[in-house]
Amino acid sequence: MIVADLSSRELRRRLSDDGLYLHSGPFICRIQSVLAKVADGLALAYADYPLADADYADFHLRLAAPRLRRWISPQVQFHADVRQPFLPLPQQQAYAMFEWGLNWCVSQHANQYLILHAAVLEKNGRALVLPGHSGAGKSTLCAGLVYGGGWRLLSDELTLIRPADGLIQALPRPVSLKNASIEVIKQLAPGAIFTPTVMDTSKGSVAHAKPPSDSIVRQQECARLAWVAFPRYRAGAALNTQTVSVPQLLMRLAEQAFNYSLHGQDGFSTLLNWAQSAQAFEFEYSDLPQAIAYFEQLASQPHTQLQHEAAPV
Amino acid sequence: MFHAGAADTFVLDAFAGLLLAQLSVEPRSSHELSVALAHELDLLVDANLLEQVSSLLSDLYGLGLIECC
Repeated sequence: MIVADLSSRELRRRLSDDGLYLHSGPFICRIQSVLAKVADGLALAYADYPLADADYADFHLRLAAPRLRRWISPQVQFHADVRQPFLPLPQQQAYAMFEWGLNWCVSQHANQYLILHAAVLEKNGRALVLPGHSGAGKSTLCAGLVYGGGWRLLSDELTLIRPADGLIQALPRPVSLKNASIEVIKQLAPGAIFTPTVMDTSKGSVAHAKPPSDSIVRQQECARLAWVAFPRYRAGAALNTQTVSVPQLLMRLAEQAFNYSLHGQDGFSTLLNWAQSAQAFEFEYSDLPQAIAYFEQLASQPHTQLQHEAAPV
Repeated sequence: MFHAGAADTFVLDAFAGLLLAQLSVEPRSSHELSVALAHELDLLVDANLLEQVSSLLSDLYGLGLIECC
């Protein structure tokens, strides 16, 4: 049974009662809220997500209006179990806050994985990781490849690496787009479904795109790393790539990790294996269709195992 | 390299890596290391090499990667 199988009334009843339990990647989330913005956002963006039995959840999430601000300039407060990690936001940002809150839950608690701040996609059995700071064009490129290039979405924000085997665990969630990127992706993929754009957030205008159904159906399917591309959008720039060396890649991945130190020697070994086996490069672009075509060509080439002479100390 | 004691990661150049590899076998003096490295890299043990090794040992000590004994 998936979220879309629930009537609007039943969805709201579950959210306002014991909670909506759903599978998101390897996690089960229990979501409670009486707020219409949350219910509407979930109905739209999580329509294809499988429901879970109401007896266990990894994350217990609740979005509620603080008592003192229920009627005047209403706000929303995010609760993760008994914690309230963020200040309240305007209530029109309730759905976006749910997404940001769930990101926080995973990045702070899922320490069985080595977690990178990076988008990750898969095609032909090989994964492309896109690390990048805010504004680098990571989410736009990720959305372009998913909705315009047919890549499977594993995550637009958090790359979960299994230290035991180095495989990437999928965590497909709605793709977060900001400002001009929203219109760019709407034009690229007119069939894509978006939550309503919320203006004036701390990140500017924000909308979330519903992941393709195939990415949700295959959310338990891991992928093996093949490429790491550090995207950088620069208006008017010609497409340009530049190789990143193994030591540089290892250090840059470590910098993008939420919990690298926590994993100690295992984290080092995992990232070293990654750095030695991946093709890594800077990727500067301005034309999204051209960028999509570049990665399409990359994915169609046979895989070449890189050889490195240097042995780890 | 990963330093288990400090749970920290360092990027070293090849010369520093070779010096650490020499030291990981057994404790050695600066002069002994210079001789070993000169032999390994086909260099002369001169004032320049001694100074380079001494400076590198000082850097590695500052990073907590080696200890005096």
